[in-house]
Amino acid sequence: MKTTDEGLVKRFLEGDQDSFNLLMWRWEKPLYQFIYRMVGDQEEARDICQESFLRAYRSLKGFRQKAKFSSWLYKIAINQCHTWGRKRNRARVISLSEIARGDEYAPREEREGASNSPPEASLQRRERELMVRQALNCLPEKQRLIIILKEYQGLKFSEIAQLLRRPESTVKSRLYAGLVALSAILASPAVQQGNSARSQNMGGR
Amino acid sequence: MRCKEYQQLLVSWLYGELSDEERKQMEEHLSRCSHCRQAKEKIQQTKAMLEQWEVEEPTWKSVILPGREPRWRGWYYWLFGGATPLRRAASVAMMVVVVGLVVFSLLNLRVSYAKGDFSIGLSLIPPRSEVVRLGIDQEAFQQELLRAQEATLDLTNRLMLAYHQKQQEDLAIALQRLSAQWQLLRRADLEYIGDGFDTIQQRTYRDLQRTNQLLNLVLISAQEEKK
Repeated sequence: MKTTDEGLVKRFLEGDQDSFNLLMWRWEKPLYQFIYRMVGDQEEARDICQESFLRAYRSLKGFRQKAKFSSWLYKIAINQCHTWGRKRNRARVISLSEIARGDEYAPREEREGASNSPPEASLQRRERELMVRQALNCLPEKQRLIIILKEYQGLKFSEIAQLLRRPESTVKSRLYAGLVALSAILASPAVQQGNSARSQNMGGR
Repeated sequence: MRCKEYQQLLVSWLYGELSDEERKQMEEHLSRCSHCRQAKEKIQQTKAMLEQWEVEEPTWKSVILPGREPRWRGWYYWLFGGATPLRRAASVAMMVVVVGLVVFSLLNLRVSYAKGDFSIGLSLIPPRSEVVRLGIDQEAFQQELLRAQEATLDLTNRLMLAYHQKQQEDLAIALQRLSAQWQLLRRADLEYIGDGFDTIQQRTYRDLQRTNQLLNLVLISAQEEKK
């Protein structure tokens, strides 16, 4: 039988270092995907993911076992993403080519240009993917976070509510508002043409 | 239920978190409400679009390399690292309380110095008033008393002396006046010699009478002064 997260936490607190590694392997994939969808950059996402695990490792002793371990981990990751967003809103240096392309939030591999020419079907899929990402970037941060948590991470409404410390009804209405807004953005011609809408949503709480 | 509440139900439905009964309610509402039906279709399309975005799985696997962590990190991060507003508020409140306590106890700082004993008291509760018995130096007090008594005696003496001197002065003045009277009489006598013996006798008698009167006066004044 597979040990539960809470069981692993308990074992780690009893002094078993490897249980934390087990926890990390179990949660690295979903957490990385979540963070990648939040920040939109592979390397940044990897750094933030590792930093989140480090924070969790350091403060696991203070983890109250009332909440689920995964919720707690998501909470840390969300905080890290906000910290990253605040930092990103400060002055920084970016390469000219990023500005020339007009989308500094596009994935790095796209910014640098795909080296191997992808097949036709994959190209179409990529275009749609980019459209979704740009549309999501246009949404307010609160709605985007809930959409990502629900749609991609598959958390239950009750879990999201606990995570964000909001009533479930608030979470649901935000998700509804976000999805409706998203459909409007996706239907708008600007996105259809593939023009990038620069957004400053990330990082503003 | 209003449409607004059905929006929440709709979202739950689309994500498969509805009980059978709620689902029936929802379906019933959808059959009646075209607005919600439209919204449902829109959201379903959006969801289909969202599914297009796939993220590659991480190509790495991380492990923790345990190292020495600074000991203060735990509580420091609890207070200042976690960016939740509640913790911020808690840390700010704690700092305010600590600073307040320090200031308050400094306000109640008591420094006392008595007979070479130097002491500093720092208390949260303000020091209460108390009665302190002063130690009296008996020897010095006696000397002081003696000095006061001597001063009183001296003053009395000087007063008596002054009184005495005043009396003597008065007496001397009286005697001077008397002798001056006598000299005057004497000069008059010498002047009257030429007028004949009878005149002298008469004058002498009158003078004797006046002298007796004067002596009487002196005696009376002396007696009165004595009283």
